[in-house]
Amino acid sequence: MSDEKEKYAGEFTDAYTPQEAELRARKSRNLWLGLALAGFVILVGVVTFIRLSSSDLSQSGFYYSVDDKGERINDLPEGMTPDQAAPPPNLTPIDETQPEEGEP
Amino acid sequence: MTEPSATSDMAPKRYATAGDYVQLLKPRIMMLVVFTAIAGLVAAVGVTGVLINPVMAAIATLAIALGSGAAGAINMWYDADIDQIMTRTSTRPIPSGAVPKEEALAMGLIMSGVSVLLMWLASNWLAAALLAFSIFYYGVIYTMWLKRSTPQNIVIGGGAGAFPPVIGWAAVTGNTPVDAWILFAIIFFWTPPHFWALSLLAHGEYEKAGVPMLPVTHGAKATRNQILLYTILLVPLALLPVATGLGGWIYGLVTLALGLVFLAYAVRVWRSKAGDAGASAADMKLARGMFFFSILYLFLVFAALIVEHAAGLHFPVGGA
Repeated sequence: MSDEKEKYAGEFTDAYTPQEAELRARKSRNLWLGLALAGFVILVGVVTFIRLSSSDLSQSGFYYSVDDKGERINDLPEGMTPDQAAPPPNLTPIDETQPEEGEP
Repeated sequence: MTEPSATSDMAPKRYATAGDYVQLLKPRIMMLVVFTAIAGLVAAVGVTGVLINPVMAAIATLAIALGSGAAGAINMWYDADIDQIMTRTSTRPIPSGAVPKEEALAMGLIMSGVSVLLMWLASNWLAAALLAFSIFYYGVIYTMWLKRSTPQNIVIGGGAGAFPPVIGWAAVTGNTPVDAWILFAIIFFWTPPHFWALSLLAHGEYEKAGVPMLPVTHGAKATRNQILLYTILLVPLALLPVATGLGGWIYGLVTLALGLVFLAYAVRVWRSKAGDAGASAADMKLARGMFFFSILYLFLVFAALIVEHAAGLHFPVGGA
C-alpha cells in the first residue's frame, strides 16, 4: 500500500475531491436507495408468500386440495371432473403410489 | 417530439436531498391518485362482493402510487426546459440544479417497471397493463406530445389522471365494468375546469414558456366558457353512480350539494374577468378559489363513495 502511495506521489493532484456536504448528501441518497431496494425485496417476498399460501394450484385441483388446516383432501372439489383436475400436459403430477428410489 | 434543451447545468449546482427526489414524484398529485384508486378498489369490493387480501390491496395501492410518481419524474425530466422558465416551477429539483435530468429519467423508468411488476404480482395482468398504459399516457402522450402541441392538452391528457379508480377496480375483480368507467369519466370531465381555473391565473407563464394552454391560444373568455361547459357536464355525470347503484343516498346527496357549489363557482368565474388583462384582484381570487374548491370536490365525492362501501352505509336510491 505504502509502495503505491510512493509510486503515485505527486500525481493526480487535480483529482476530484468531494466536499463534506456532497459526501453527506451522497450518503443520505445511498441510504434511501438501499432502504427502497430492501423494501422492494420484502414486498416481493410478502406477495410471493401470500400467493403461495392461498394455494391457487391446489384450489384448482391441480395436485390436491387442502382444507383450512392445510391437510390434504383427496376428493376433488364439488362439481369438478377428473378431466378438469388434470394437470396441464407439460406437467406430470407426482405419483405418490409409486415407491421412491431405493425403497422396497 | 423535440428533446428538451435544458441541461443539468442550467442552474448553480446544489446537493440533492431525499426531499428533492420525493418532489420529483409530484407527491400532491400522487395523493389524489392514490385516493381515487382506493375509492375504485373499495367500491369494487362493495359492489361485486369479491374479496381481496388486504396486504395485496395495500401493495396494489403502493404500486399505483409508484406508477404515479414514475410518471411525474418522466414529466419533470421532459419539461425541465419549460419548468425553468416558469416561476411556479423554477424551484423544482431539475431546474434548480439539484437533480440531473438523466437521474430523473432513470428514476422514472425504473419506478415504472417496478410499479407495473408489483401490480402484476399483487393483483392481475389487467390492472398491471392499465397501470403501464396510464404511465405511458401521462409520460408520453400528454407530456411529450399533447402538452406542447394543442390547447386541448388538458382535456385529452386528463385521461391519464382518470385511470386510478379503474386500475383499483381491476386489481380486485380482474375486469373493468361500466361502473369503473363512470369513475373514470368523473375525473376526466373534472380535469378541464380544475386545470383551466389554474391556467387563468398563470397563463402569462405558459405564454412565456410557449405552452399552448387554452387561455394563451383562445383567450381568457373562451377558457371561462369552457370551464362552465365542462362543469355543466360534470355535475349530472357525477350523479350517474346513483342511477347504476354504485352510489347510494349519501353519495348522491354529497355529490349533488358539492356539484351545485362547483357550478356556482363556474358561473361566477364565467361572469368575471378572471384571466383578462384588466381582471381585478377579486376576479383572480375567484379563479383561485375555484381551483382549490375543485380539489376539495373530487376528494369529497370519492370520500363519500369510500365511506358508503367501507362502512356499510351503502343504501341504494330506490332500494335497488
